[in-house]
Amino acid sequence: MKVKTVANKIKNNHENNTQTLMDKPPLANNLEPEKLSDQPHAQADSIKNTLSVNDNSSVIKYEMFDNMGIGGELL
Amino acid sequence: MRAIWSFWSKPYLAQQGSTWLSPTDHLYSCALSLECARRHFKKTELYTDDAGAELLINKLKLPFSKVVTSLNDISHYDCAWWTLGKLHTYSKQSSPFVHIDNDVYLWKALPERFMRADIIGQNPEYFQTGSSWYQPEKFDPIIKSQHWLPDEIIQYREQKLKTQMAVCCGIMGGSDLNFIKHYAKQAIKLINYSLTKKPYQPLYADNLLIEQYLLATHINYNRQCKPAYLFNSTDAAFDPTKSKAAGFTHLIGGAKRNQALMNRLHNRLCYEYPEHYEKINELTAHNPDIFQL
Repeated sequence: MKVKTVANKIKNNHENNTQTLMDKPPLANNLEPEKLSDQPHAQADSIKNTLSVNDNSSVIKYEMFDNMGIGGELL
Repeated sequence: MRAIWSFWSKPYLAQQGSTWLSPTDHLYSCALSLECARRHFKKTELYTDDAGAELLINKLKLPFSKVVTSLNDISHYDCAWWTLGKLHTYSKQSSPFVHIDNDVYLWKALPERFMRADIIGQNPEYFQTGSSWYQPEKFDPIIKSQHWLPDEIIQYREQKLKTQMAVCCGIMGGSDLNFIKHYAKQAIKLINYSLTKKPYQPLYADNLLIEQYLLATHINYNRQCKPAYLFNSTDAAFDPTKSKAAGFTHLIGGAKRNQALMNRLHNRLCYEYPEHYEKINELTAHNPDIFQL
């Protein structure tokens, strides 16, 4: 298994350690016909925006269920 | 069959782990989800970005057998589309896999039939339009205005079924990689359109509609594709006797904020994997800003 080095690129650049990760793939992707590189930059990063958009839709869906989740008693 | 996970740090950091009772709980769960699956799978792979790899691999040393930082490719996306990390990961697979959400624990191995299944899903979710958290009627004006939509959606909506279906993707994968890639790319295309084209704006950030309903439309359209589900309905999934028989836990939705369950999560990890438990505690104790990278 190939081992390559990946520089840690934390947003604030406070960290600059270099660690090894395995099998880092090429960054390019092949999502035809929609190439990710053609897509817009983030439009609304705020989670508040997300929640306001989805107040009546699927974001809150599983809240309706028993909050033991599925098989929570096995934990 | 490989077990894979995805962790896109951008939406997680934007929420500062708030889908969990505490950010530490999320890390406990990542460790337990991996360790449970390692009992059944030799190959365990993480698909993440640089920040995710820094946290889960470099700092916590979680023992995935392979780490891929392919989610750097989506760093420019609006993180309200949190399911994009999963969809992008699905689209990158080139051999049979099962994607496991980081709030899912496989106490038992998945059934043997899963190893050969075209598509793997947790369970079908049946619902009636207008009385569900799913709102597939959002697609209808787009169809009516003759803007692009996947044929799978158009055909499914044209059937005007009283009972519609989605697929819960706590676990998702399979062996029909052409099908999975096609589905994932269609989903990503819809996400792109929701961000750039006005007719598609009602779809914006409706993550479960695009991930889980779209998958069902593709399964419906490709009748030769045979899905395998761990449970045959939502009710079955929430039946404790059935989840016990399957040896399956999914801390779905609000379960991640259940104090009693989080206590059990702490205790389980502490008892069974103390090295992970201690490392996570050490990291979070000494790095209070770790969730605000």
